[in-house]
Amino acid sequence: MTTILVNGRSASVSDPPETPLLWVLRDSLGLTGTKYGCGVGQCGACTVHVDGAATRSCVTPLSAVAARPVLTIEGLAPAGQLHKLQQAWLQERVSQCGYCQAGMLMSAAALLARVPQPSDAQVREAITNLCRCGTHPRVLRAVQRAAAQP
Amino acid sequence: MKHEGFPIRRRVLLGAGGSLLLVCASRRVRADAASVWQALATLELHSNGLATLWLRKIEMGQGAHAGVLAVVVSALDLPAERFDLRQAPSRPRFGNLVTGGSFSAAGAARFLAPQVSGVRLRLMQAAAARWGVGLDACRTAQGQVVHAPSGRRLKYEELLRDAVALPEPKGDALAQAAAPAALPSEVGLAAQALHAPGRARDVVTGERRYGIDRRAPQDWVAVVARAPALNARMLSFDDAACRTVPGFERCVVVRGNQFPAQNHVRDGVAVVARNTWAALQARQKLVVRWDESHAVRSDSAALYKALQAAANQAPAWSPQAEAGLAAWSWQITLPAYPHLPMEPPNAWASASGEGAAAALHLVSGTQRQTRLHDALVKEQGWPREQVQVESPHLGGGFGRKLEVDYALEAALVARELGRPVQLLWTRDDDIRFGIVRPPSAHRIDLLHDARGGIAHWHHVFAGESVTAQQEPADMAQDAGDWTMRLPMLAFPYAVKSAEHIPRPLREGIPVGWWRGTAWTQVGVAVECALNAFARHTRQDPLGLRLRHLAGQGTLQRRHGERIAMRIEAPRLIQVLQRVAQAARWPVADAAPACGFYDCDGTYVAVIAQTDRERRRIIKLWISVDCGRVLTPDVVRQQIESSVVFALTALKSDGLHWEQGRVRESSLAELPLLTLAEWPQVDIDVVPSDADVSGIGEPVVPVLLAAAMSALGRGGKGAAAGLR
Repeated sequence: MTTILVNGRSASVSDPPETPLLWVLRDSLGLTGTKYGCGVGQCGACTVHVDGAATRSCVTPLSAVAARPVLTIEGLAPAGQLHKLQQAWLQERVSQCGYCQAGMLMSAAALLARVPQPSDAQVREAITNLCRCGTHPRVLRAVQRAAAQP
Repeated sequence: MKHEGFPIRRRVLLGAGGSLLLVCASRRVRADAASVWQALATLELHSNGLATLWLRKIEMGQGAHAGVLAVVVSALDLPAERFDLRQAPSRPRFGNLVTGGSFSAAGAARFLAPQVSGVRLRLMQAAAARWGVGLDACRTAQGQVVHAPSGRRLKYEELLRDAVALPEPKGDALAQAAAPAALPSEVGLAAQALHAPGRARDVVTGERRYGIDRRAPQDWVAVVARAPALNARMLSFDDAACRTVPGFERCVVVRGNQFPAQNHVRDGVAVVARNTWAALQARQKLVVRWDESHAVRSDSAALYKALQAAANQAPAWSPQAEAGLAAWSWQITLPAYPHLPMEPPNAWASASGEGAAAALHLVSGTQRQTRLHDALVKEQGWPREQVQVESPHLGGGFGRKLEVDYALEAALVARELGRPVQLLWTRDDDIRFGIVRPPSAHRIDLLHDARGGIAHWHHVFAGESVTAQQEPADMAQDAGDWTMRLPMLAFPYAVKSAEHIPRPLREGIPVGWWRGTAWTQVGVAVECALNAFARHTRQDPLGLRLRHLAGQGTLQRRHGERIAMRIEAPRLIQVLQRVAQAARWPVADAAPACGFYDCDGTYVAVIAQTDRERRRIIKLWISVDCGRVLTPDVVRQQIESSVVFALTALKSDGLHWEQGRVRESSLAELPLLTLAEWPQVDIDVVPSDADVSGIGEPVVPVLLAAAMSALGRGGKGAAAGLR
């Protein structure tokens, strides 16, 4: 059994240590907000925070997480509340199909935690998540909108 | 069944363990089950003032729900927030459920609005009868009928009992009701504010459950080891090594069908485990023997050769020589593009019982619920009334999810297992075993005068045919593949003669409907050819188009039973002029394109500008006329979406086959446009009172053409001798 810390709570899981964190989150812990898009770290739909850093959970084995805190989309804001990025996302009407957006939001949140007032170029460079529907211009606007909030 | 003196229609029951699938759970509106008038198959009015709208179209981010709701809100004159939206399951009551063709909101405006207006008319008639006044003294106001002279009002919910007894209005009476005040823009905005895809709270919180999320912890997971080539047969398998994987349960044979088929399923072995990782690990250890003696040896090199040969096939065009005319010839070959929805194909299925008592509950993001339901009955023998197909929100469709193959696989496995299972396609499964936009080769010959005016036009479109593969009965002698002919007949330019020749082929790669369908082949060919011809004759490509559109008026294009288009050339001229003005044409390093799309009539013009080195698109000017706009931000969003879709396509040459196998297997080989690559985009949506027309697909072909021409990838032309 492995104990991990997810969204501020300890959880015991019986997954083998090489199991990607993505599947531990989705299948063992029922946290399905983190999505499977490619399984090989190319699309970013599986982005979570491990110790505050944006991390592609599909290529992060459980053993590499160890005791470091994991934050998923479900934990981005306290229950019933919205993080300023989530609010900005709704105000800018970013999402289309929505499938990649949890990963986008987690990448954006990690960026704002490092660089509270990123330039457009910094946002474009930092957020490499793929989106098939084409939310690109609205993601860029929503990040700036959130950055402008306290 | 009667209750309280007037009949109550029973709610649709969804079978064993099913629950009514509610859309947008965070905005769920509780509808009163005590008394309800099922006014239409898709519309129920409740005695508590709420209404249930059953949506026949699925939502995949394109805004279908908001668009259809806007239509209904206006036609019924009931506020958007009073509506409870539900996704229609695959029941006969709801007819043929299919989402595609950029016709969800537009179709609702054309077909559903008059019916909903009829419901509003019955409410007005009911009130008029109760008051003993004339119908023409009554109007509606946001869920109430009002008698203007006296100021009396009755809420819709107070009139249900009376209205249900009235006959459905037809003919003149229906026409009278079918024209409420023109769709006020605030009606659409209200529907948009509540239900536009970008307003979905459950997406940003991670609470939304797509098909891939419907698995309960105890449900098993299956991934399939599929036939490596079409029509390879599974001979045997050895799962001994799979048993070393903790969580592995068993294997299930998936017997496919012969390609080509309407719903082709490959032979395979489903590896079933207790969780996803175990299934993936176990599949890697599975050993399968395949018989490829009758496999289709799909090969891109041979395929493109065949397409080009067909495009150049005899009899060659031999126009009569005309004095003063010169000949020019041009060719282009277009790739086989994948769909790549971010949520890969998957389906959850739960089966019980046997024979006549067999039942199946299937949850899968699909664009064709009825086709799936029919296939389950006809191809797998499930009893029709005991099949329940639910489609949740899709994590992208783009036409891939018109195919029902992955759901059919899930049903087969579920039946064998006798317990719920989620069947998942990995990304490389999606790339290697899915369907593609058909590749094609085009040859355009034309005769022109000394000023570069086109007199005669001849276009051969040789393409792998979806219709030939999936619906061979539709390949009529004279019409061939009508889906290939349709965009060809939309050629709007004034010329002395134009010949459009579709040559459908069936060369053995699995094809389907990609966003924009054959318009992305024909529209690209025509518009790229025009740009190339303009360069050849040293004329302004915009001017060339405007010259050949001037005076065209309204064009009627018909062919057989399937094709009837009405193309209003002035609207095409208008978008060309608007985009030219916005860009301050002429623009360096840029190319234009324009096009009509039959959904029922959307007009698009684009100017695409590259960087100096012609490596990438840096700016786009886009003008769209899609008729009356119900949900302006959704329309704008779909235009942005089309930009990313088109520019993504141009980042690769699509898929390639060798020895029956797809060469590509990952997104690294099929790169999507990144945020960093998003260009400057100037969007103009023409204010219009014309009929509502679609927006999901029309911009894609025009963007592709403009971008390809600007990037110098718009085909090869040459002056040609006349034969």
